[in-house]
Amino acid sequence: MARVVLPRGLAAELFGGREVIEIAAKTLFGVVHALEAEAPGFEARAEQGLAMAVDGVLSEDWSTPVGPDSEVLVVTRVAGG
Amino acid sequence: MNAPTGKLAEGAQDYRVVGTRPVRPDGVDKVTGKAIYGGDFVAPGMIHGAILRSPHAHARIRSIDVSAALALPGVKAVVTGADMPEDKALKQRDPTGGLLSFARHSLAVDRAMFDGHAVAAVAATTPEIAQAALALIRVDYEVLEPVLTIEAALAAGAPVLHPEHKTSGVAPEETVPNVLAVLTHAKGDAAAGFAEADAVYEGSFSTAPIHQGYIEPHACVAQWNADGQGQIWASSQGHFMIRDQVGGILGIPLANLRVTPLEIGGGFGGKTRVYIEPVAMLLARKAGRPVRLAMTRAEVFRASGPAPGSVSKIRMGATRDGRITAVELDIALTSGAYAHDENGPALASATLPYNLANLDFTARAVFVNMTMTYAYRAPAAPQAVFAVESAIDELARQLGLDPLDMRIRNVARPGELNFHGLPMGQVGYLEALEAAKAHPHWSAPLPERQARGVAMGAWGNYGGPSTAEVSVADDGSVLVAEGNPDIGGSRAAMAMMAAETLGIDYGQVRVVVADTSAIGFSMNTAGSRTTFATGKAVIQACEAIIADLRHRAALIWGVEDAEVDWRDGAAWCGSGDNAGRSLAIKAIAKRANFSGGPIAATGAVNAQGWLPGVGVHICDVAVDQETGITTITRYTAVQDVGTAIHPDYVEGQMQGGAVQGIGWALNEEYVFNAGGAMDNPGFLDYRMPVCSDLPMIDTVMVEKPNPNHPYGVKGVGEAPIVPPLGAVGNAVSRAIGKRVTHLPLSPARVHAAITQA
Repeated sequence: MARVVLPRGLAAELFGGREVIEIAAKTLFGVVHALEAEAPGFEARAEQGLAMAVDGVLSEDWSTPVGPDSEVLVVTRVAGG
Repeated sequence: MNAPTGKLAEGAQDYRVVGTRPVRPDGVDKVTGKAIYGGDFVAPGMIHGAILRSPHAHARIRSIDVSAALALPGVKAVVTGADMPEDKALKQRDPTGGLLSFARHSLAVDRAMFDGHAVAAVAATTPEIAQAALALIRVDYEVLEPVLTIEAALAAGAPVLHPEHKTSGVAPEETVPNVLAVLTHAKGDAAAGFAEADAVYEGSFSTAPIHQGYIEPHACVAQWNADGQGQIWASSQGHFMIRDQVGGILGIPLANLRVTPLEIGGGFGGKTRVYIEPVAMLLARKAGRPVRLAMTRAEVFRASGPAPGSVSKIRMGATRDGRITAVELDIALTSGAYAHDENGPALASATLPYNLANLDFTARAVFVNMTMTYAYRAPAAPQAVFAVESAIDELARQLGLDPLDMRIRNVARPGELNFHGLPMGQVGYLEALEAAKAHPHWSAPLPERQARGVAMGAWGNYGGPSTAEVSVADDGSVLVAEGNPDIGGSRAAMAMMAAETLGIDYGQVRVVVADTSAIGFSMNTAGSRTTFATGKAVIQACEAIIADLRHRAALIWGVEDAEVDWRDGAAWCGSGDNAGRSLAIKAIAKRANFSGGPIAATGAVNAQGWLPGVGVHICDVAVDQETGITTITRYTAVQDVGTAIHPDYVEGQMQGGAVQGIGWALNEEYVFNAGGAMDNPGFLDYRMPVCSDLPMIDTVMVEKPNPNHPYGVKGVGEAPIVPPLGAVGNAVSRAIGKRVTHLPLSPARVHAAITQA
């Protein structure tokens, strides 16, 4: 199971305060789908303003592989002006 | 200007084209007035739009009577909020509410939420008739109490701007009135960090809302035919953004909406969303004619997307030797009348260049009755970094440390974990500090009654999606099409990277900015991303072109592709009768139709691997103790720029960012009267620095290449606006012997600080 770490506020708002969620997924698509199933609306939020890092590497490609021991960090996306 | 030392950082390479300073390809059109900007474009049959704007910062719209305006000869259309899609439809198209905010900001429905809010628009055969028609529209307002400041919005009993809104970032039951969003971030143990500190500084800081001040007001021409197809010609930081937002708001299939980019006279983040374009489309549909809408300067100030004001509290502790042990930061930013949230970049940028063990950060975006704020060059970083760099300066002073040494003591190094817990990449935080320390400016004696400040600031930069098309003409010249408006020199930079990759001369490459129907998607020219991301797309396409050219040369010579090498703009044969011979790109292109047809390739990327940019700025000031007037006497900007593709443009970005930051620090602010109307919506009263106000901004490029880009590119456009607020503030504080905490440092404010007991 991959370990998904959520920002504190997002966890409070959508996931009942759980900041760490264990998810079985092969890619970031799988992570997003699993989190959407737990908290409808997460996927739209992710599309608009979140980024994810798998094992310390930021990736906006949701086909990025996720291993059973991976850590997925969900962070605020910063694009700029 | 201080020339680069010529010494390349580790990993840097010598290139043939990259790093040279060729003439900009858009220069002649721009200096001879031939370039077509937003306000220049004319469509056949075009008529003229104008917008009626609310004089009230907060009011309920009881009714709008447009009958007299419609009856005026020459008026072809009038629209109001009733012509806009309903909330439900907009939320279906964008559940996050972004389209809803853009739509309501562009044309009010039921309530006017800020001074200058559009409440109706007309299109008429002449601009004069359009203006006369506006005067005939009767709006019945119920004036409501406005909320103009962060403090007022958060006060108990304040009018609630969006009663239905639930604060994001907190549990639903913890929603806070007038707070759009909350973001918290903690690392380590702040309390333990303060316990080991030898010195602690605590202060409150604020910055005013300010405008990007781009020269060109927003302007567009829109056309929406009865068959459902539409076109928009506009200047912006992203014509795909205009297509997607207008299409999303009005429910137009994106393939039916073609947006053509016009030249842009500055944006700095303020042109990364729509303002007038949806209204122009509604007018065009009703009128059955193309409609031009253009803002006046006052409209730009009142109704576009300035940078948020901020209020912050900071507490920072450090040991005797300058190690920062803990930072608490609480920052609130004005969202404006609708939802715009810069909490993420504020917190991510606050201490980005430093490796600090203990952080406790909170950011809030707060609704107030002013135009919805938006991105300005490294959004929210200058506001947050102003507090952080002021606190570092105070601690350095308290501890008797050199302020640059204290920063070096805490600087982040590659491989260490950043704010999010991700490893720092190859960013020259330390190299920039060392370059600043080695610069003659830092050690130059100060003239009498002058003081020196220094500050550091970084910005994360971005990558993201971009498309480029490259084709080779029969004569061997190369055409590159990109989907990014050229604001800071992308045509030159793309041509240089294409020439470098193909091994040909810069003069053989011509770059155009293609419209939304002519090329694949490209994200905004924003986030310091274009040279990095679109550059990757161009290089990818050029590499495909090279593979194709090698294949065609192999066909001509009758050898395998693997026997053909590509160098210096030519194919070289490695075997057979032609071994050692070459075919230049021109020779292969001439035979294109006999070897497979046109030579063309697409590069399409979602560019990853971007790295932050960082600047260290040194500022000398003279403060007139009797008037409070601050004069910048010397200014040096040092920046890790990755590989500078075109150094002139890079230095220009550094100078421009520094000047805008100086304006932010010294002069600029939105001034509202008690009713919430902006009192200074023009450049006479909204004071931006001009050339005569400033010395030459000295630039020092530190080139530490990005290993994740073929030519080492890092974004350079945003980082230089981050340090100036702190650099100027620190210099003024040292000049008057008191910490200045509120920007802008207008003469009256500085004089008050000088005379305060």
